[in-house]
Amino acid sequence: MANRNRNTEPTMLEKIERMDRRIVFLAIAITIILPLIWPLGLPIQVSPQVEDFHDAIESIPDSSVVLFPNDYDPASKAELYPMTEAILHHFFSEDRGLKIIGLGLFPAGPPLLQRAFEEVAEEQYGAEYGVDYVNLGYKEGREIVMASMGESIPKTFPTDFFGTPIDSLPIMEGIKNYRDIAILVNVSAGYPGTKEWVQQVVSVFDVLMVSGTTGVSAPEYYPYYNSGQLAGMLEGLKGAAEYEELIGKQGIATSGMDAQSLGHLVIILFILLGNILYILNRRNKNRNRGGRF
Amino acid sequence: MWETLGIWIQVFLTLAIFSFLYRDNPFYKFAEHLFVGVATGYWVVLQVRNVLLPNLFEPLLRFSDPWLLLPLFLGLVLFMRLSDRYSYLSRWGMAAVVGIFAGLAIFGFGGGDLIIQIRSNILPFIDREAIAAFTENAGLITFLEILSNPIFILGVICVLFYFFFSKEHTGALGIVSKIGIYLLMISFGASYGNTVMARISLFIDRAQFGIVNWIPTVIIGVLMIIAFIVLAITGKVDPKEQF
Amino acid sequence: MARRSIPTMIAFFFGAMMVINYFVPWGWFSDRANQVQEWGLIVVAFAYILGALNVMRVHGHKVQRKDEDWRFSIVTIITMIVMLTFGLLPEAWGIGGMEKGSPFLWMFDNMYVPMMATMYSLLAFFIASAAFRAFKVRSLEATLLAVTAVIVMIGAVPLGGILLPGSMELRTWIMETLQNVGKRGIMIGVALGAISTSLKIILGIERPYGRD
Repeated sequence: MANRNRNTEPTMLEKIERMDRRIVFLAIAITIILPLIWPLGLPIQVSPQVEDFHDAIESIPDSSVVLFPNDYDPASKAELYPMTEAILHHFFSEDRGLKIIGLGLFPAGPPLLQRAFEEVAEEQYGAEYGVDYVNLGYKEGREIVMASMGESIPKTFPTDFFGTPIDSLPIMEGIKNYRDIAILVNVSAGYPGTKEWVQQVVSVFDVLMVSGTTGVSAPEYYPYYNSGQLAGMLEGLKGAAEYEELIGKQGIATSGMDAQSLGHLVIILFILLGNILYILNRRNKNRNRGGRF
Repeated sequence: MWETLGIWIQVFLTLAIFSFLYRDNPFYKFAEHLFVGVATGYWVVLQVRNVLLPNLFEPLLRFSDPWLLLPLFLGLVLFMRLSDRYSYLSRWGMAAVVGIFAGLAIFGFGGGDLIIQIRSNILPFIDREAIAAFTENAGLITFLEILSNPIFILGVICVLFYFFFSKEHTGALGIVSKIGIYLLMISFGASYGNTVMARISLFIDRAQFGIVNWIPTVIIGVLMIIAFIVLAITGKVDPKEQF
Repeated sequence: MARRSIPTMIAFFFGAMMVINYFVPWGWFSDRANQVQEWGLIVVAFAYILGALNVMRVHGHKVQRKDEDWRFSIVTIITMIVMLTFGLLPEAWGIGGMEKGSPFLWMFDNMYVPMMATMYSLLAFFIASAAFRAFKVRSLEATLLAVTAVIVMIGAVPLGGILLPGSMELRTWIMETLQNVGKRGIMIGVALGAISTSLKIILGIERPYGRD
């Protein structure tokens, strides 16, 4: 902030530049809420990394086993829960007999995953717990869990989320470690998540991996996508919406995209307004002091 | 019944936390403290039910692996941190954890990041496929694609120069590290843009929740506004004061 | 002396087991290394419980001393006890356990989830206010940052494609190439740093688990 002469009254422009931030808050709230009530239906374009994500899942043979770690908690549920649902639609809608092993390395993740399994896999496709899918639940230890599963998944997870011994579940029959997994589909909100799965699993056990991640961490994972360590990527709610578009199952992510559009627009306008005011105020100040801009 | 009650509680807690945008207030404080209690309780239960019972106590009670007494001991000494006299013992447990993470990190970062990222940056300077794509369909993006490989090859060197050279950044080295800074700024800009995207999505989720459950949202919202007006009139909070 | 050397030896043993496991990933040794990994996840779980005890202690003190907002600390203590009771009681008792419809999951769904989601969504407002106040084009560096952020934001949403055709493709190129260069540089730098720090820890040169 440029120095201000304490004796002079702030001009109108300076007042606007220093307005109560609650006005900004209100503007954001209104621009996001309105399109949720009256949607605009803007068309969604699918980006190449989302197509790659989809193709990677398509590429695995029918009836193979998918490891599905959902490493997030309610803090990023807004972005990642719609993604989890869209991915589950893809797993189960084509009737390929995929076996899904879910788990979560964030303490508050597995109940959210369980809800998604029940709402999508069970209710919409009649999938059966313990046969078509399982929720291994949470395990503390971060990278240690990942490394340990390389030796033995049943030893690392002796029981599922509900405390049932996993050797009593048919889906786990014959599954020992990453060699029995066709693809690792990670939904990740940060640490521990995609970066650690790449470091501990992809590079050591050579497993095919794709990742759906929050907007905040996505840029960090682009080097992995570029190097082929990740076969595909979904970025935040936008990625979820594009995935819904791709598999033809428009859901919560798609319905949020209009609000997302207007939200971005209003923030860009705020950046522009902030800069215009900054330049004008600086020019005025220099003029008053007789200086040059 | 429980489901309806649940929705009303959810709406109240959501609005109580949003009320922080107006200013700090008792509703927010209540929700904040409730959250800490619920979250801590939840974490402990999960550690016990999903980790300690299946991986430690059940095998111990079956006498299947007496070696597990060792992690039990290392885990219990962590609690010595709460004592003044024996707090040094808690370092034994911490040292075990830190040691494992350090061991895993060496190959995680070495094999997963360092080697593969360097290898992926060894690219042909001229990308023939990109040139072919450009001649077929000339445009801004196909042109930029031709530049991709040189940008990667030279750019990563510039960024690393900026990071590593303890030599003063003047002359040619100054230009190289300056380009490194510019590339880092672009990188941070992209991260910022994506962060905005993520944060907006978080509010969209809460707004969708409020719209779906609009009746409790409106009722509780109006009651809360009345409470704030009453607090302002009675002088308990100053509406002009920002947090 | 023992106070100093025992933790160093423990860190060396656990760290070295992990490193050697990469070189000898089979047979007797690998089984031992895997056992050590399992020990690790158990010890970390205890650390969480220690954390919870600490929360309890801090709020207990607040209530005892009648500090500012001590009444709210009672809320924390009570909900924590309620959550622990519901969660740790056996399923067979009807009110315990983590099955669908249990009081424990009911509290998780109706309290934990909405509050955590809302707390993080407050950031939408603060980032907007920061965009207005702090994003000023004062130098070439700041301009590059702002311009990239704006293109990335525009290209990410459907409206972008309408207002500025081709913005999604431009954003994709920026994400995959231009911004990726910086990220790759950082990644290589961080990896070198992490490897050297880890080596120092295993060899006892650095001791983040506590000093004497």
